[in-house]
Amino acid sequence: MDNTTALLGLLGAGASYGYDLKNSYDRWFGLKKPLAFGQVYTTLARLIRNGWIVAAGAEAGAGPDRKRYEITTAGRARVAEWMFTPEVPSESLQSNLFAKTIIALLLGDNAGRLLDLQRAQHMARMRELTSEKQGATLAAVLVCDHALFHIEADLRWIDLTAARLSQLRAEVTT
Amino acid sequence: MRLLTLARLVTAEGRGARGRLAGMAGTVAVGVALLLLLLGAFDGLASRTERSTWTSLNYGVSTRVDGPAAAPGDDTVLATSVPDFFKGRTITRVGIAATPASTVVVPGIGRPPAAGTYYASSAMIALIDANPGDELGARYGTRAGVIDDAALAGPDSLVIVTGAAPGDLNAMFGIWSVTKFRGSAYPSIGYRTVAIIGAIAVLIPVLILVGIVTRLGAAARAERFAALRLIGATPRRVADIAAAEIGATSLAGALAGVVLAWLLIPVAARVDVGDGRFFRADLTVGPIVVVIVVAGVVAVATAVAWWRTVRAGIGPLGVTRERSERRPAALGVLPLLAGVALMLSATIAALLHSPLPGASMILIAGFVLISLGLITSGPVLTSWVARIAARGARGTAGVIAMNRIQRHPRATFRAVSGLVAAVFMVSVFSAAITTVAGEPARAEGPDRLPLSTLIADLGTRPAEAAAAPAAASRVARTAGVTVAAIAYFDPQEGVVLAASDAARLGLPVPGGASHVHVTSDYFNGGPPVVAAASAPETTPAMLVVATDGTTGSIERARTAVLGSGLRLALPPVTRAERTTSALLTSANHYADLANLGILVATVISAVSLAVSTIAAVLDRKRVFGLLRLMGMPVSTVRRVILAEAALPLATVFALCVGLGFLVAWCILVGLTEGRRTVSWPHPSYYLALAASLLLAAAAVVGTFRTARKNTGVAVTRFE
Amino acid sequence: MSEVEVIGAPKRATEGEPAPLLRARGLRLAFGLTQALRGIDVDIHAGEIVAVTGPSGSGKSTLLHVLAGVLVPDAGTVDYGHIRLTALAEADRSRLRLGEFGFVFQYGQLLPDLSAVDNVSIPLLLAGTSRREALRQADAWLERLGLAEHSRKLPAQLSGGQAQRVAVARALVTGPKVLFADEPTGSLDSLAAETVMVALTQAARAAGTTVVLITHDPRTAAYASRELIVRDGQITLGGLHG
Repeated sequence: MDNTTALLGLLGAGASYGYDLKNSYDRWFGLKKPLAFGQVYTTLARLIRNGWIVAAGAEAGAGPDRKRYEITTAGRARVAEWMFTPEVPSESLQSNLFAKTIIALLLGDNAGRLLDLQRAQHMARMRELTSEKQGATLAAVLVCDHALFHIEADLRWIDLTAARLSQLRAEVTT
Repeated sequence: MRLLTLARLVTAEGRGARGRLAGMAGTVAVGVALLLLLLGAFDGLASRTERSTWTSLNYGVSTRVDGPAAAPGDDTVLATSVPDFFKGRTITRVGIAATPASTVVVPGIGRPPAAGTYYASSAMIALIDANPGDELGARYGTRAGVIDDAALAGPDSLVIVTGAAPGDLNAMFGIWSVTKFRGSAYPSIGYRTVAIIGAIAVLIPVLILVGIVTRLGAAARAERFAALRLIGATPRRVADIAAAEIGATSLAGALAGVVLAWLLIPVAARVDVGDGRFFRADLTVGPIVVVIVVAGVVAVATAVAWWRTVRAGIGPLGVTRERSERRPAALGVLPLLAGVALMLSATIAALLHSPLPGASMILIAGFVLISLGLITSGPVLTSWVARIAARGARGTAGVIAMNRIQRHPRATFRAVSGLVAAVFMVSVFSAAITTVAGEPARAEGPDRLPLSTLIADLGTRPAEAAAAPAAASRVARTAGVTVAAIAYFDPQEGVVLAASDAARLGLPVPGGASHVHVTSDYFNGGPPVVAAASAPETTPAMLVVATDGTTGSIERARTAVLGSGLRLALPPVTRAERTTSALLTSANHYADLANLGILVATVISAVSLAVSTIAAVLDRKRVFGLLRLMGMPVSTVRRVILAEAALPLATVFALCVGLGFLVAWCILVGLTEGRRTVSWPHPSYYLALAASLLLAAAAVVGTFRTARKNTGVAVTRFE
Repeated sequence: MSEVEVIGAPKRATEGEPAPLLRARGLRLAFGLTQALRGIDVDIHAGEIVAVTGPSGSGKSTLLHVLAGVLVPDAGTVDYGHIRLTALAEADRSRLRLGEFGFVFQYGQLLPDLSAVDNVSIPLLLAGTSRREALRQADAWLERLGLAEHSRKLPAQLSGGQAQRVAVARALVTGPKVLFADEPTGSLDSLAAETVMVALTQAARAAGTTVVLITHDPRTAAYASRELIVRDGQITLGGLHG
């Protein structure tokens, strides 16, 4: 999963302090493996370097954890590009797609659309595999079938998530 | 009790189920009511016949006496029974000569009436009072009292008992010496046979109806039963539940039917059957019969439901796939053939004047076999015809319908079986009464004997011959009488009249003849064949009384002839009355009654046809809905429905009619050893056939709306 | 570049945009309080195989019924070539469906009392073909779909996949321009579904028949050349070509 862009996306929902940002990240994406503080700050430094966020209004005498970070226009564009670029169907896809969905909901963006785009990407791959099967040897057909079932599993998750979007939105925005 | 609770839970929940049970109970109620009324009527017909046939004199302890020498004693009376006519109605007239101290009891009266007085039924008294004395009342003398209802067939019976001196008794149908008046329920074994056959005729459509109705909604129920099987109910248990459901429902229906029958008795008593309406008491069925009918209907319905559910073989996974029926075995035709063989052998034996022992029971058995055989052979014949038709079908509807029938011959035939039975019964009874109705029409014309002319056959004895002309001229002086002529039998054939009388009667008289000869056929409506003849040497044989044609004049003339003192061999009648009176038979009353029952049964059969037709469409509503969605016009669905009802009906229709006539012929010929036979039926028969077909068509057309609604797009959505 | 092409619509050889075979604009339809269609625009071109997917209750079956002229929308138009479907009377739409469209449904579409070949011959009989000719053509189609040995069997004697292939034969026997398939593999296992879909798409392609395929199964939808996603009575993806 692309941690960097996910953090950037969380900032897109509103300016935040490093500590809050870590908690927010852990709430959505760190259930199994929380983000270390050091990793948060190196990531933030990288985002500042790319010009996607700025550190604003640091209060006097405060450490790095008292700095408030804010997303820039360029940062917002980066988040949107990331969200609406479908992933290539692969086994590591789920966490990324999940992150995109959460971020889109946090940003009040069209999460359904990103799921549809992903779906279309998957379907295109399935169509390719299906047409490859025509006239292929049985061994080739079985290989295609394996891939098809994996993609189908992703698609099922996408469809289920799409069906639960409004429920998820309510949970994200509280 | 647990079983009933379970049955209620499984089958009676939901609006559709309640409607189905209500429909089932309602139909059973109508069937039971009909059955009770008709049983009552049959029973009533028998008891009223028994009560009223004492007037025939020959069932009691009585002997026929001949000659004027006989005289009544204190324990015997002399009696005669003759028909009398008034304005187209037949009156039963019993003349009794008794001693003043007679101990003989006359039914409904008590002591025999004194000479010159009469007792009459209430209807007869009303008739006498409503008409001028010289037309009717003068025939009988002084009124002494009213005949009690207990000696009458019905409230409309015209019966009169007159007292007479022994010498004045009219001997035209013989004089009986009677010690005790008694009637008979079945004047002959033939009547009894006809009565039993009539009862069966009514019973069969009612049974078919109960059979069809208990099948209503079987598909919906099968699903629920499958659910029960899935949670562990045994097939036996499921059948028990089905039987409990039907048993409880049909019991409720049967009890309602008893109430309905009781409520309908006043209505039924207004229906004119045979020679008049019924007394209400005659239509009431005894409590034992009611219990037997209720128990019988409930038992049959319950047993059928149980057996049917066991046989349906509902598995835990339900009847997911509609199974084709087993192809009906050709064995089904056997009862029909056996019945025909039985009836024919009994009849042929009778024709050869060596009747088989128990011929009437053989005829009844044959009839039952043929009736059952029609129902069992229907599916066989239907499936044969459908197999041929399916191959030759051209259009969509034909292909769909014929294949359906081929796979489900029993179900499709069952839908029309009620009508088939009705058509068969109507044919039997219509053919049976043709012996009455089949009077060949005779040409009418100004040269024929007028219908307003009375003919009285005389039994003049030589000693009385001289007084006859004076009596005739007394009759001639009656108001409205134009001619009263005495005629004599020609020893060879025909009648001899004085030329002057013949001329006044409007016959063409050859010039110069003193007497003329007229063929007998003229007096039955034939053409006048007149020739000159010599003066007769025989005694007066006939009195011909021409009138001015009004009914009042005819009845005045009749009254005058009856009171003229002439010795009559037959009552004075017009030639029209002569033919009808000769042909009235009690068998017709049963036929009337059976026809009445069949009419109602036909209506109910039409209703059950509609029910079955709708069920057949609902079974296939999804597939028809999808076909309509594909663009099949709704008219194709209509044609399918029509074809599925028409083919089984058409297959056996001609057979029903043919067998009906065969059965009628066998019964008539077999019971009378060929003295009576059938001829072409009355036009009302064709009307009845047309009406039953129309009813069937109406029943089928009536389902079109339901069919259209149930195969619309909405049916195939949201499933 | 439009998103539709991103998801893999076929590039057409011709430069100029050909008129769509089915063209729907602004379709709205409500059943009581339920809004089944809420403003749908669709173009379907000749020769396409279009999958319509979406969750149950999304309105995809309703969309099929409106496109096929079974239901009339409350608002909006459907044009089939030059014919405005939404302006025709029911009788005319029935005739059009019979002559120009074919249908395959999920289950229960075969007459239970008719053999496979008789079932396939029904649309031809409805169109007025003689029984002999109808049976000949029906047999030919069954053979093409690999069902020659089953042609005299009753539907109850066929497996689910065989019955669906009989339904495909029945839908294509009249040579329709458009085949509407509503969950044709909905009650089949994977292998039977595959057999039916291969038979359906190959036969349709060979006959040049356009296919509108409703399914919630991605593996079935993968046989299409394009996908429309319907959600809450609206098309969220793929409604109109670039």
